[in-house]
Amino acid sequence: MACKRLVATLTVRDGRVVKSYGYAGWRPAGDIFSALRNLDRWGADEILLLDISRRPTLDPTVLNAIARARIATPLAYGGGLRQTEDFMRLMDLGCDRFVVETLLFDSERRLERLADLVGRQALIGCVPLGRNPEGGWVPTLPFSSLRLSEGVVPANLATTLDLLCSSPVSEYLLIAAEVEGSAGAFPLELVVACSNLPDHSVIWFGGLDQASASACLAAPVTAAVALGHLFLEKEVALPLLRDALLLSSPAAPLRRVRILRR
Amino acid sequence: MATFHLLDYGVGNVGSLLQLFEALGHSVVRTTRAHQIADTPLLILPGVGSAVTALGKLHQLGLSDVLRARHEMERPMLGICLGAQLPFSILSEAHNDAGLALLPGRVAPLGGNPGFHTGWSPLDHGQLRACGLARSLRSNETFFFNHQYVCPEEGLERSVIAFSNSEKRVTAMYICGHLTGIQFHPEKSQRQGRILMRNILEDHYGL
Repeated sequence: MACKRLVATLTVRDGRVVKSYGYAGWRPAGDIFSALRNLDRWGADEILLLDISRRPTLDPTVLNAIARARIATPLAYGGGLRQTEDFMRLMDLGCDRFVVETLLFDSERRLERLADLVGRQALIGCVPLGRNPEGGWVPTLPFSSLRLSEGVVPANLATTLDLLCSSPVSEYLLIAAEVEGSAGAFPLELVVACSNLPDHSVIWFGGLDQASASACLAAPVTAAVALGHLFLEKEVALPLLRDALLLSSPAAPLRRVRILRR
Repeated sequence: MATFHLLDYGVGNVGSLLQLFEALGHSVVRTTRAHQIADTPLLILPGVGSAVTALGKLHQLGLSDVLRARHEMERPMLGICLGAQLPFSILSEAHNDAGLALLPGRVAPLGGNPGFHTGWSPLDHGQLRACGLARSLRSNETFFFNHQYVCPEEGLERSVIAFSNSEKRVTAMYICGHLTGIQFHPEKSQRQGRILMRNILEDHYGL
């Protein structure tokens, strides 16, 4: 069967990799080209590049780094995707999948048209989730500043999951937005709350560490766990985490990777 | 090392494929010109995305008949991902419209929930060995898949299967004479993808 995936996430702002803290603060964490090359060499199952600059167009610095890095690892891109041409350009540069967030809530018709063009398997629906005052999970940042032309943001988790299931996307990137950047703070109760989603459909992100990643991987609903900071802080943290996850749970369905040495 | 051509019809991950062939020391030229498609020692048929869009582009560029003519002349052709599905007779994704009809059979939805196969799966190593393509590859090597539709298993000369997320059988590769199809993405399968592509080019096509 297909292995579950260990996804390395690069959060990018203004052409640089940043360490993001709950999408509320950032500090520089290196250049995109080097990060892509390293993660490719360390055997990430997929690299997720999220540009949080909120620019009106794709950032040429980011595109240039992707083109130069020439990686042989699946690459998913999210952030600022608006025009059909954006998707085609990124695909030609080597992006395999696209993360849609605003579009997911805004226009079903546009999303369907896009799926006809790039294929549903290339689309990942992204929802950052947080707690409302009553303790329920709701779509959260950046929706306070989001202007939707057609759709509405779901009011609770049940309607959010219904929307995801009816959308022409292949996987769901669910982000624990409030703890993003705080390793070990991932709320495992979110996995339980989303357990009705199809098996192998969710990529979890935000506040994961080894223990919570291991717990997420054990859930049938999980397709992948995405980690960011951890991989940037220590050389070869990614293969070490993979080995630890394989050891901690022999049944952990991750693939084994031989690391390329130069 | 050989020079051959890649059909650049505006659908796909052309950049990554060119990188892969370049890394293997080959010179690959993008083309939509009929005489190059007919004459090249190996034609790469890439494709990512929707079969409807891909077929539309091929028809629009007038290339469907050129590809059929090349196939009838038994010239080597390698389809990758969607490019491995287009040669079949019927494509469910294209509302059961005809594909290029180079091979019999129907490309059908994977089915199940979720109906996608996204991730790294091992290939049946025995079948890979039987195809003569297992050189330097271990039995548990995994390759990156990302698809919703699957090629038929019946009627193929030789095939290699894998299993999807929901344990469904998937035709991962096939060889039908001069035509080879690869459902997964060798260009995004790291070291093992490069080795397998080298084996296809050198051991199968003799390039």
